[in-house]
Amino acid sequence: MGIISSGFRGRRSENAALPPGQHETQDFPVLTAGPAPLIPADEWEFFITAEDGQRLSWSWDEFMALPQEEITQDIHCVTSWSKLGTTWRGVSVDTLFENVETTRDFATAHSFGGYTTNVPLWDLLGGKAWVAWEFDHEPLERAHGGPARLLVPHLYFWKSAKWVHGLELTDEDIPGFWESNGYHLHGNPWREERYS
Amino acid sequence: MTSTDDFAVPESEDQDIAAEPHDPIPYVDGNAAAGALSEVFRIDIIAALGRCRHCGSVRAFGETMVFTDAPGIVVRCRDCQGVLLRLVQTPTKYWLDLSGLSYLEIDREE
Repeated sequence: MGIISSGFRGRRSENAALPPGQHETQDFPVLTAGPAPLIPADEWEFFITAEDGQRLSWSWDEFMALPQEEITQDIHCVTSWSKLGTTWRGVSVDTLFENVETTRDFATAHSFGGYTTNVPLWDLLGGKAWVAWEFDHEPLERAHGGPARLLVPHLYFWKSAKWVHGLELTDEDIPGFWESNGYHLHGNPWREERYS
Repeated sequence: MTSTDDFAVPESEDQDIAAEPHDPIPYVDGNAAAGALSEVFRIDIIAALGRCRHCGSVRAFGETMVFTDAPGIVVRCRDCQGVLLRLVQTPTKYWLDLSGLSYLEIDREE
């Protein structure tokens, strides 16, 4: 007869790459709050809106013509899995903001399908966030947010909005889909900012 | 665009995920939400009729689409996929958003 050790899974990981309360997975679980929207490339756009009606947008072809970056980052889901060393390709949010003039400090990411999440601008700029369209050297699967998703790997992964459509800059930090119903406004995994 | 609480999906979408043909994002029916909701409702929520705020459809709660592979439970209208209800369970609280339901019609016990 075996004895089941209930303490083993709960033990703090010794892997320094894992934030508190996280365990490593080799899979890429699909978490989604609803059906996957289907966005043909010729209907896709990415927008940024700021004050005074300023609106920039890129078609798929315009977006793909921007400088592209290879990204290798760990990702951390609030449901406690982490995936280490994931590789992506996409456009830095810094590149998208080159012609944006704003005094606003916050952004709401809007997705096709209606999902929203809020991220402070300083968490999107400075080489910390991308609009990614390739995962593991393959076009991003629709289940994982393709054709393109926001990638903000230093925050819990619900901030990395799938099927991202654009960024609306705001004066205040306006809670998004999960942030308005119990989840933390910011979501730093190293501080375990899971719940509000 | 300034609204953050309009989660209706405007178009019905093909449920197939491109990378996994014929493998849709999984959802289950309203019964799957019954266990978690029994913690916060003292009524038989499954048999209750609810009106969708997004499209006006009135259906039994048991007919809804429930997405559980998410940071919370998301209950959507079967007709328009708009969000009817969200339930997040934290270690110390329940967070319940019913704003997608304009009413619930519940039978009284006889």
